[in-house]
Order: sequence, then C-alpha cells, then structure tokens
Amino acid sequence: MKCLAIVVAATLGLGSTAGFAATLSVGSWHVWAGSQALTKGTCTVTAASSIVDTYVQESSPGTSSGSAATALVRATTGSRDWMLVRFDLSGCALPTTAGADSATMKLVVKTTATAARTLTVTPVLSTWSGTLTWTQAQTLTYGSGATTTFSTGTTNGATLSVPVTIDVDALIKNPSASYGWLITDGGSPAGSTTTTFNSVDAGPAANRPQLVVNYEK
Amino acid sequence: MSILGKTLGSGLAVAATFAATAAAATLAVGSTSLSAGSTSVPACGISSLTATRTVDNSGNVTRVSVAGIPTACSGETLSVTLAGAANASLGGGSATIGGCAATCSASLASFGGTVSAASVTKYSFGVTGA
Repeated sequence: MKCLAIVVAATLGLGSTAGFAATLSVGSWHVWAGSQALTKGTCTVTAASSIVDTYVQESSPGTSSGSAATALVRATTGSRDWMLVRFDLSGCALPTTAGADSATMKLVVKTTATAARTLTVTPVLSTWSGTLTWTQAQTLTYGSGATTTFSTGTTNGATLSVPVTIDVDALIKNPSASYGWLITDGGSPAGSTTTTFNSVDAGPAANRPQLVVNYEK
Repeated sequence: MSILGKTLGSGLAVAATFAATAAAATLAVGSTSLSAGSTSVPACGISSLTATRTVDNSGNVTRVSVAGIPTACSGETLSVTLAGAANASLGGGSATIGGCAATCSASLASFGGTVSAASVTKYSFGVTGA
C-alpha cells in the first residue's frame, strides 16, 4: 500500500507539471502569451472653462440663454424648455485607448416642479455653442435613443447624479465628438413642469454641472 | 504478478507518459524548435498586445477589441481573460484573428457572464494557431 501511495503521488506530481505544458498546445506553430495591466483613476471636470451649457425656449425661439445662471427644463405645450450641457475632457489627459469604468454627470437642482419629473438625457451628435437658440436646436443631430432618464425629486438644492458612462466611454475614444447631452422633459405637459438647474454661470464649482469619470488606461 | 506489482507497473507507465509530456514543458514558449532551451521565433511576430473595451451605461464590459496584430497571425485564435484583484478571472473568451490590412484585429463580445469594467485590472492574452 505504501508503494501504491508513492506511485500515485509521483503520477499526480508529474501530471501537474504536464498540465501546464498541455495548455501551451505543443505542436502548434505559434504560441504567444502576454498581459496588459490597467491603471485606474478618477477625473472630475468642474472648471468653468471646460463646461458649456445653455437652455433653449420654444416660446422664444430666437433667444439665447447661454449666459444665464440657471438652465430650465419644461414640458409645457408650446413652452418647452430644453437644457444642453457638454464637458471638455482634455484636462483628464486620457489616451484614446482608455475607457470609462463609470461616468456620472452631477446637476444641482435650484428649484423643482411641484411633483418630481422624469427627465430624459439624449446624446447630441453635432456641434453647438452657448449661444444656441430653440430654432437652431431643431437642426442639431441627436442620438436615436436616450442614454438614461432620471427623476428630479422635489428637493430644492439637491445634487442629482446622472449615469452617462456609455457616452463618456465613447467620448474618451473619440474626443472630437464632445457634443454633450440634451435634457428634456417628455412627461405630462399639464400643471407645474419646470425644473430649474444651476448652470455653469451659477458661481462656485459646487453649484455647477460636474462630470466625474472613473477610468482605466 | 501480484496486484501490487500490477498497480505499480501501471502507475509507472502513467508516470512515464506524464514524464514525456513534462519534458515538453521545458521548451520555451513560442519556440518552433524542438530542442529544449531554444527560443528562436516569436509567435507570428507579436511582441505585445493592447486591448480597448466598450461598456454599457451600467459600466459592464460589452466588447474587448485588440488591434495591431501582425498579419502573420491571421486566422489564429486570440484568447482574452479579464482579470481582477489577485489575478482572479472575471471572464473571458476567444476570437479568430482577422480583419487584416496592414495589421489584423480580433474582437470579443461575450465573456461568460457580466463583467464590471471597474473590477478589471488586467487583460491576459494568448494566441495559438496550428
């Protein structure tokens, strides 16, 4: 029995060594193995110079509101308001081979509607400036689907976190496509529907829209 | 022959089989030579690989792509393992290397389950081909 145990142990010992060889497909013409270690980090875009936002009003189709301290989103028929915001990620110095593990846009609600509203975030696919008007906004190209939706809640002054990972990941890989997002309210147009956000012109960084990117590179 | 003798003989035969394979393990990875200790040809010219990946809005990996693969690797198989802390495998898969022009590429869209990009700290690659 001792001999048997020794034989089995020897067999298993050699077998475990041979197991590694088997994974190398000996007999193949080409065998190569390697790895790529990833570096993780976080970049927060808060500088006013890296953020452009505005809102456009259906009731004033030729008016620009890019320098206002607030940005409105409203569903009221004939008086819809849309907010647009975009961020410049160049300060994060990410290579185009990097990617977003998660990305969150943070918006500070100055005042909410009477009841919580559900807002829709849609990627903008063409360029725009802070002087955008409602009329011009109708000519922009938007994503065919929404990136996400989020609830405004009913707490004035609250900071809302909006997940935009998929778009920021794409932006890292193609920095020239930094066109940001359109924020709209497609809910019931009746009653109180206006949500007012602080804009980039609202003062301290804590009040501005922010973009927090957890990345790998 | 006693039962113990037969068992011992069988064990030695099995051990010899593994021993023969074990000898192959002494060949350097990537070698096309059968002389042990010789490293003569890098596998189809790869010196390193870099992956890029895409995610969904929840931060889960949806695709891993590897570009810049030498054309000599066309038709061979690229295996990618997404590894996390302590090199634990989070998922992986394989794809045939193709799409060749100046270089080739390979892309995987299935990893055997959902993989959070935030958990991935390393990509491990393997390229094999007959």
